[in-house]
Amino acid sequence: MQRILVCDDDKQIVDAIDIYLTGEGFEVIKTYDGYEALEYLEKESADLLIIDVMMPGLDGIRTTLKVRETSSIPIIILSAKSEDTDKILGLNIGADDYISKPFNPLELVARVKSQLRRYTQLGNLNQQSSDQIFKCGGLVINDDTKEVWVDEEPIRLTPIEYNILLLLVKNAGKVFSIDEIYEQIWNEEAIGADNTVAVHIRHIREKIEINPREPRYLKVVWGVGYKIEKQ
Amino acid sequence: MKLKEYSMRIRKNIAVLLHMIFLTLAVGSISFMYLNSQIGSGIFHLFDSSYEESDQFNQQFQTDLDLIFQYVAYRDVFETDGALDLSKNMFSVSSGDGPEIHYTLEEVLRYAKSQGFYLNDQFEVVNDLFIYDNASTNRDQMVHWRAYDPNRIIHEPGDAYSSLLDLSREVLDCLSAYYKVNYQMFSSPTNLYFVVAYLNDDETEAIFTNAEGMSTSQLKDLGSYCSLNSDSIFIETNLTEVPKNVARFMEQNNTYGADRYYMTAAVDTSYLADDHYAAEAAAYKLTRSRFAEAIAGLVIGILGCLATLYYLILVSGYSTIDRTVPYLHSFDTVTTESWVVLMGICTLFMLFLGEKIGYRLIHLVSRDTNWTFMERMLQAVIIYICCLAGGFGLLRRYKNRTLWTNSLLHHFQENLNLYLADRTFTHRLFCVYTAFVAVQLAAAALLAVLFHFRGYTAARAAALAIAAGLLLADYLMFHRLFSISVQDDQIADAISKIAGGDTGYQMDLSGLSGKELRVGRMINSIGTGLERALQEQVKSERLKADLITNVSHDLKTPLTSIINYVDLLKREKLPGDRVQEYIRVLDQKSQRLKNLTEDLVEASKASSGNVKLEMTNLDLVEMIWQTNGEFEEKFSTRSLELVANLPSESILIHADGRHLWRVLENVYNNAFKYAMEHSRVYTDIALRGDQVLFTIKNVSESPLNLQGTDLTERFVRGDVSRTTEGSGLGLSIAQSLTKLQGGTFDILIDGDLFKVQIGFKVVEKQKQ
Repeated sequence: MQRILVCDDDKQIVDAIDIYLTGEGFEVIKTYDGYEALEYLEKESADLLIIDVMMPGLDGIRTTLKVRETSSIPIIILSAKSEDTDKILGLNIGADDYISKPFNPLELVARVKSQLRRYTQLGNLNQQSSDQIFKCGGLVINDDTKEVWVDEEPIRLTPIEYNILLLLVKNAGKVFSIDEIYEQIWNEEAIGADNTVAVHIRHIREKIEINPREPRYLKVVWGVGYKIEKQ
Repeated sequence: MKLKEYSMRIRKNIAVLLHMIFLTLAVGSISFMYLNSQIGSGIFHLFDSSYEESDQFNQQFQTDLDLIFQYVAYRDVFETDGALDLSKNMFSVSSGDGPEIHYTLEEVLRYAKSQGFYLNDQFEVVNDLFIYDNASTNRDQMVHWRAYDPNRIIHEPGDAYSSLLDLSREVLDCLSAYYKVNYQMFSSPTNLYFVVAYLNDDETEAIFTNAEGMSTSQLKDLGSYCSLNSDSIFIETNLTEVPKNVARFMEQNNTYGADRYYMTAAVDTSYLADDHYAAEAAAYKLTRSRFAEAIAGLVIGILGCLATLYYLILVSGYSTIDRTVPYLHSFDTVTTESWVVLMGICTLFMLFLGEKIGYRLIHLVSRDTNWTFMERMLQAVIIYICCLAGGFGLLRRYKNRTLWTNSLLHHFQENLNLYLADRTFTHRLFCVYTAFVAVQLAAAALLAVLFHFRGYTAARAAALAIAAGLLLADYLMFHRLFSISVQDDQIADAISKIAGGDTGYQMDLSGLSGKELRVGRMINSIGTGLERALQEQVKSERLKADLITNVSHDLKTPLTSIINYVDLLKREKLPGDRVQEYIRVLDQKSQRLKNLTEDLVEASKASSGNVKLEMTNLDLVEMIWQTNGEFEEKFSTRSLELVANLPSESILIHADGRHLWRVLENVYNNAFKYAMEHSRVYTDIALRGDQVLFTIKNVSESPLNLQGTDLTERFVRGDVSRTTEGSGLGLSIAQSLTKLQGGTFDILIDGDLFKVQIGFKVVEKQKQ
């Protein structure tokens, strides 16, 4: 049974998270400030840490820093601060994921599972190596079998969606405009482009992302095109 | 302190006293040197080795030589065998055709006595009768012969006539000379020895001497001498100045037909005899030493004066020795100009007093020949002392720093400043211009008057001076106006800087003066005030942002629990339709509350500009395609058809993609929410000059009875009942974000047609 350490000064939120995660079969350790969480981690071990930022005593950012000194367990920050700068700060200091309050409980559970899968099966992924296998973080494409996995979960894509995704993953980090994607996939010149590509991209995002509004893999570069974040 | 002041006062008084003493010494020395008989030879007379070399000696010797020759000429006229013979004939005259009458010396003397003539103890001819008996004296008689002037040459017929009085006068004059020589060189002891001898074939015809038995060489050995021999034209002498007329007189007096003659005159420079040579030599020596003393006195006096003056200048204006406490006399409080005028009046008064009293005293105590000099000296001393007093008054003021501040000019300037500085520019300009015109006119009038008197040098000089003064005044005027203009420029510069947004700008006040300085200060205080206001505003904005963050945190935390527990309730699958209905409402409203909170925070941030922008060039056409792709499915859920009318080329604009997405998202969501079902939503892009306009149009489901601008107000929604989902902040956020990125955001309502127009400046347009 995987053990998840939850740390938030609001008791009700901790209790709610406990209910959701316990329902999913996790063991939940409830702590209410950073010192308590650190104290627990010194004595016991945990598989994942969910931590709030704004807490009395030691705040989430400093706690994360402390944890990162000794441990590499996945850390998900759960904060009412929803600014981009807050997210960037949290992710930069060592957190693996950032969920802003108020959150969708199902999304939280999904993200917890995703982080755990990646953490525990990281070794396996590194062993798999083939010319026809493309990886980008938790996203894996096997071009031989035309299969796609996200965090070990198989994804079903239409041929066009698959081709678009493959194009982007093969060129991870490169931004493709709508016209470029159209020309690559349909093999014909884009005359009077329409929103076909954009619609397909949206479909892919809905399939591979936990929260399509805040995509982890397939990102929209507004006014320029689309890209897969290089990871 | 008292003691210090007291000792200081004593010191000052002593210094003043010393100064006066030195001054007296200097003045006395000058006077002595000036009134000296040696005046004219200056300091060089100190270097003359002896009395024998002085001019005085030469003059005296010359006089005595002349006397000797007179004696030579007159001795035989008056003497017989070495004694005065009264029976000697003096002259012969005849009256008309009358007989020639011979007058003896006795007769002449008697006549002369009868006319009031006599010889005084100095053997000078004196007449104590003031009124001549003209009747008897005027009767001119023809003179046939004069014993004392036998070779008289008559140039004109009138010369032969003379009155008896004049003739006796002539005789008396000759007699006077004879007596003088007799007295000075024979009867009295003398240092002057002479020999005049006429020889004929080595026979002595006549010899005149008071040095019997002394040879020529013996005479020469006495000291200063003058010797002449008929054999030579050369006058042998050791005097610094060769005596005049010696040779002429020798020849003239050769009435004996002598073929040879010689003369020697010598002064015994040991001055054994007590005569005028001895007296003058002694006096000369004394004067010389006195003169040297006077020079020493003058030098000491001047040095002493300078030293005491220096000390007084140092201590003047301080009441203590350490010269720290400035001190003014009670009379030093009068204004500087008044002091100067006062001292001028005082000087004039003192000069008047000097003339009325000092001159009288001088006349009482000194010789009349010295009066002029003494009077001038007194004047100089009075002027010097008054200037000294006045100068020290100014010095005290200077040390107390009241020389300028307590001057009438300063008061006047202050008053002028009162007239000029605190008035309006108009008033000031009027005053200055009036003064300027007045000065010009006055100068022109004066010049015209002077032109009338152009013949006079003084008038021409005055005109020149006035013209120069006018030029100077005009230049000063120009300079003043120019400097004011420069200052105004500085002020304008500062204002434009502040107006340009540099509210913290402080202008340099160092070059400013008068009203400009005040204006400059005001500008600086405006700058400071603006800066403070701006900082306060920035601070309040930041506080507002902080408040928003904190409030949103405080709202979101309980909201999180509400949403989570509502969700948990939902999962409990509680029995009863009503319970399910309640939970559904709770769920819906909590979600709405969540949206509202998020929008509220965003709206606050967007409207306060508290948003970080990452501006890049992006393709608006691509962006709209992307957005359309994002929304197509959503729109289809309400049977809304998205019609895109976009150009095929890309149009680059300068914007922040993520925030522009937020704008478009809100606008599309707005259309999604309020568009009539089964209608079309049009999106198109058009170029208007250098602007690109994106328009989204839809037909509103409910009637819009408000202005387009109202919709961008926060919390305003098309449906007044507010039953639909949405915070009412969407368009407001969109507008704020667009404006932050430098775009335009307009809402146009035409009946039920709802149109949002977003404009950006085109960076680049390229054909694909």
